[in-house]
Amino acid sequence: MSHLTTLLAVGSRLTRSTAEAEDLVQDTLLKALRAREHFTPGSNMRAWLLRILTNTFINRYRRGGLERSVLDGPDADPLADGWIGASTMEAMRDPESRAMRALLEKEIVAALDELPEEFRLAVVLSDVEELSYKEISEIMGCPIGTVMSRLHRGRRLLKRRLYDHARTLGIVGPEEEVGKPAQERAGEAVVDLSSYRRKASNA
Amino acid sequence: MSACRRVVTLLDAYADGELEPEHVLEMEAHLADCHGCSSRLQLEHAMKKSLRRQVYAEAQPSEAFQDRILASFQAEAEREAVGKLESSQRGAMLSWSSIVPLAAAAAIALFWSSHTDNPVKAVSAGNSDGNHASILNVEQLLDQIVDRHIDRSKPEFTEPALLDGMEPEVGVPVHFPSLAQYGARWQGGRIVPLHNQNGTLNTASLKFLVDGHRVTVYVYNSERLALGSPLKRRVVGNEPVYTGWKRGYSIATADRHGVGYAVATDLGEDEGAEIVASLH
Ligand SMILES: [Zn+2]
Repeated sequence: MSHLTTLLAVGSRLTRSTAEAEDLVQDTLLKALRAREHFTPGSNMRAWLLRILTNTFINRYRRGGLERSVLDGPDADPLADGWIGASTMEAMRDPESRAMRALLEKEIVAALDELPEEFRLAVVLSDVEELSYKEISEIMGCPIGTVMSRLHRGRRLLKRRLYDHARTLGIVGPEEEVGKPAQERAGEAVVDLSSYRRKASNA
Repeated sequence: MSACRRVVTLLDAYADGELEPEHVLEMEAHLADCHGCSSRLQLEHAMKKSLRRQVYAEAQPSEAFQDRILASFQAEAEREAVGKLESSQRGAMLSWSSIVPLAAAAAIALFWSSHTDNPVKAVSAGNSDGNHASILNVEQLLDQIVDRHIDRSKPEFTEPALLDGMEPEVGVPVHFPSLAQYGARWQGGRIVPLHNQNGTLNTASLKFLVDGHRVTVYVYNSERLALGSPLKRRVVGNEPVYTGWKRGYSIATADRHGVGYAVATDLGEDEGAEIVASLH
């Protein structure tokens, strides 16, 4: 995988547009070229380039930092995604390829693109680029704990989105294994995207 | 349920390979017993795998885009050169050619990326399938070395200064081999990946002509690729080398402190051995 491909992949998910991603990558590479003495030989060049890409994106499109997400939203219960049972989780995977079922995999980029930027970037840097929490925290300029929380929430939203899609496609049935009374569930953390949006715009 | 609750807070870190070792045992013991948590973990892995595949499937740089980036690097290099000329009293002393290759080398390093960032399982003759398999392995690799020796595709570059930019991709320093004593004419270089069932390893392929005969020098990380047996071991000067024939071409290999060299030639076995022994 060349650095060019890596930057284009991450840039495309940040901008959600090929044309804008190409401009962003070009700016990033020129900045990297001009700043090449600041690169420490032997350190991770990919992480260094991705930091420049992220900063370039923020300076260019998001003067106020990455698109807001609700940082203090309801996240207390780590089992809040208990709405999805083991058999449903299995039905969403393809045992052969150990990836998502092909029909769901086709939707995964669209689902990713719907995440708030902070979550989307964390998920891309970790799940696609396989950078360490420490490298991600340096790129995103936030503590490791924040990286972990963004990753957790981003993945949960993504899973929710794919689950909804699986329901629409009839790959999984209605969730029977919730095992909690309806009243209890009603008060539970809302994890779907539209409620995040509402909260974000009210915040 | 309370065990699950405790473990679930650590599940992301475990899936990401970031869990502290003292929690890993607890996590694995729980996963072995708990169907719910192991399904959750498998779903996390499946999402990662699909994400990687699909994000990259949608992000292949087009030829036009690659050309545009190269042109912008070239323009930047020229700007730098002009800047340096203007800021220097003895500007004429600075040659453009000393500056332009620097930027171009940077460009190549960026295009080529590094597998050292993210080590992939690479080819190795000493694999766990035992000796027989490793000999087949080497035969397979020698075949590819010959294929790429006789292949006539254009080199990726001909500027010797750009060899420095190959290091991140190859994993070892690549120096310009002086084959001047053989009257060798430099043809150009490119990255050549060698494949076998264990993976892929990038090598630097450097082509020369000696008296009209092709000589291809491959440079690679010899910790990840051993090209010895079934070639014959011999000593040239004080240097141990391996030599042999593959499909009518002579092949000679040597290992110099972790840097591997393989030479494929249209010349004889002795010439190949002498050339590889002269490399360092
Ligand atoms: Zn459990």
